[in-house]
Amino acid sequence: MAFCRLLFDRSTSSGAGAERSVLYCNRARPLPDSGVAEDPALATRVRGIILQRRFNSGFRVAECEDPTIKGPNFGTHRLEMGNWDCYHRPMHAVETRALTKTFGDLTAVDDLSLTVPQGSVYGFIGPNGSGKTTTMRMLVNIFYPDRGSIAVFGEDSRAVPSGTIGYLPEERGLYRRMNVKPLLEFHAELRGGRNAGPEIDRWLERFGLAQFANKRVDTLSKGMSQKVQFIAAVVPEPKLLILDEPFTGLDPVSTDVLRESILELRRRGASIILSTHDMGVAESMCDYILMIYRGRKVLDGTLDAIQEQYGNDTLRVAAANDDCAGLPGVEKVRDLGQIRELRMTRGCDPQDVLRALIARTRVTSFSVAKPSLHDIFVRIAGPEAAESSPPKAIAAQGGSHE
Amino acid sequence: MNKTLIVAKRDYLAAIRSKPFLVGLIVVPLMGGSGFIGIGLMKAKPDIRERRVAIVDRTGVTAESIISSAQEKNAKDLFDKKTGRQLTPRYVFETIAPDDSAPDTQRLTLSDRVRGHQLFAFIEVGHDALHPPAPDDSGAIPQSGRVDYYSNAGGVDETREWLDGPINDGLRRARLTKLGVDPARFTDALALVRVQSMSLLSRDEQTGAIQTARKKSELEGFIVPFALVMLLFMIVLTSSTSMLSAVAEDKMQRVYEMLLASASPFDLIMGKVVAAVALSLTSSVLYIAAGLFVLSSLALTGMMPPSLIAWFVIYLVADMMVLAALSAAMGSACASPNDAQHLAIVLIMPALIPIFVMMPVMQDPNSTFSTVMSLIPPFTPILMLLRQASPTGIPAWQPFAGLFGIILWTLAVTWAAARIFRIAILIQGKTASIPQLFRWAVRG
Repeated sequence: MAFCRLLFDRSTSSGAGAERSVLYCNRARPLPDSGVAEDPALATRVRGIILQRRFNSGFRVAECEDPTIKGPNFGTHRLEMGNWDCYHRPMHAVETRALTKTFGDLTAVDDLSLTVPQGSVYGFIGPNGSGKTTTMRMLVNIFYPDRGSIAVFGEDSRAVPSGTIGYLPEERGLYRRMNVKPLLEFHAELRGGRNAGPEIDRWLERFGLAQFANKRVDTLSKGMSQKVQFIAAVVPEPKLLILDEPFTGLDPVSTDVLRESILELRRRGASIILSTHDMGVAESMCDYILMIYRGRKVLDGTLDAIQEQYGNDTLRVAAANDDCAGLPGVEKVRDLGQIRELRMTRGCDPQDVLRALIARTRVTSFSVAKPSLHDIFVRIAGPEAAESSPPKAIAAQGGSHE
Repeated sequence: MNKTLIVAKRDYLAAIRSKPFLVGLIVVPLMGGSGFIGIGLMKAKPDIRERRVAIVDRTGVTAESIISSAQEKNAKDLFDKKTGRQLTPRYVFETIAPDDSAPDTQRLTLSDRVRGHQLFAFIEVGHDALHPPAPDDSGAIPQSGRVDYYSNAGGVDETREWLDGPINDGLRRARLTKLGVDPARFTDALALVRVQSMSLLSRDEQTGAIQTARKKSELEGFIVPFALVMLLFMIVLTSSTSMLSAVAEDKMQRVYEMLLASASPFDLIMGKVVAAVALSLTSSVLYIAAGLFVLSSLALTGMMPPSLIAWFVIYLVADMMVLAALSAAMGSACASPNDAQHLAIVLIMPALIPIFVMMPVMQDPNSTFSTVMSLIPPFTPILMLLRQASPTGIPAWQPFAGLFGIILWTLAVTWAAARIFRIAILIQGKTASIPQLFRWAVRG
């Protein structure tokens, strides 16, 4: 089935904000040159003229603007589109459909669909080699997908100006013989940023690198180079920032500075995608979490929604005796040092576990909780899961942002 | 600014400030001109030690004539007429009576004297040298009809060349003596006439007047084409091999992934190509300016017409684009700078083919071989330039046909190189094989 997508400015139809929105039309027939479409969701008539049309992996993509706002010249070829089956959705920062990428016999990313809402922090987690970096490289057009489509702010990702997206790759690398500031100006210019000097100075000041502006990159420490590369990714300020393991190799102070910088960019309206192996970072920073395992999506949603799927199946216990093995209804014990995390079998009553525990030892702390993200990660990608059948995608109920 | 130009500007400025470029500026003319420097040094300090040559004259009447002719040549060539400085070695002769009973023994004895530095060389005038028999079916002349020259010198032996005149002159004098000609008339009878090489005449298209022919010098026919071609070859080769290493090094330092998020592989590779072209033009401007200065100081500016310089620039740009694009593609396929050194050989070998065929093309610029070779796009820049620079000239359509071929070739190579670059640049840890590069270029 071919989809037709009309982009229009929401302010032209509802008057609420300037956010661009999308009309999806599911009639598999050629899109007319221009037309007027009904928008049932907003109960308004959206009049639009198609400015450009693109064909990408079976999707018919078109863009339109409202003639009443943009000018009178669009009205000459209007077609009634009331008979089109249209519906309205807010436009997302990133939207992929059935993204697939193979390298020889290896399917690195398999049928991956995801939606990154505007202004959110979206975390990629997953074991090494699961397909996170390949997905990010496809989002920034370093790799092209074998199948599927990518829309960035409603447009085909290949048509998005490079200044829209800032990208910090996992493999850090800069021209080592260049001085820091000219290097940053070069990257900014390449991303369409002119006169980026003041913005670069502000970032250098913020990261404590102002005195290194005229030093060669090969005189910087690894951490400093990493901060310089982050600045290269955010100047000029992007609408979408994609960061592949941004905190790896940074000391706690630098980590805090970087974290605060990312969140400030989010506050200013940027959408952030980051990958991390630190579940603490994912839990504390990300509005949405997507886990990829063996190239497939296995988790997608808010942290609460993901945890909700597993229910309150975790007990956190502090007791005088370390031995929690063999308790009735407990299938796994994880020793965290001062406390132990017990995973209960389905249908197990925590009161029964508590009674059995008190019979064995003196209990100083006992709480029922949802599983941590770390625990969920291990349940999906740990050794036990690796021996089982390929993972199924788990849609996060309740927290869906679709 | 266009992304290609942004990348080109960075690469150009980075390269022009680097030591390898500055060193290359000096090394290229030294490499290209090392042969001339050697010749110049030899001319400045020639070997003028006396050279003793023995003559075994089996005709019995020729040795004296040869010695007489050689002494006349000695007297004429030995000293610079203005400075009085000795320019060539003095040749002295000794006549050896032939031993017909054991000729090889006699030759061995004389050979030993040459090895012992008592003689520089010896010549043996065959019994029938005055009236040499016709060559046999294989084209060989029997030893009795020849003059054999024996020496311990290398392949290029100026003594043999020097003796060529006196020996033939001596033989002719002996023949004339036998015919009863008065020895006083020998000089007149044997006087040589110089054959002057001239250019073809043409008609001035504007005035209709016939343009007179001009004298062509050996220098003009060799020095200008050779110098231009070697300059082009050296600039292109040094620039492209250094680019190959630079791309491989940058790949090792992982600089490309971030750039690829901001610019397409084609932008990156074209930026590198444009920078390489600009660099080569920078250095060639310096060299050409220096060359024109030298020629003007020698009042020889006409040897390098402006049209030739224009074609030089066109060919330089085309050749540079092709080799720079290939270098970038091959550099992107390397796992380490060491691998780049090995791949550089693959890059250089095809570039050497036009150099191998330079001599036959210079000798006959309009032969079928020369024409066909110069119209093969990879060879066009060097061979067509060589033919255009030769005094004989070539049909006017051929440079344009060659240029058309080069443009197509350059587009094809750059397109294929961008495809290779895009795939190879993020692959770490393994250098691609040549067949793999071809597969990437074809399949993408």
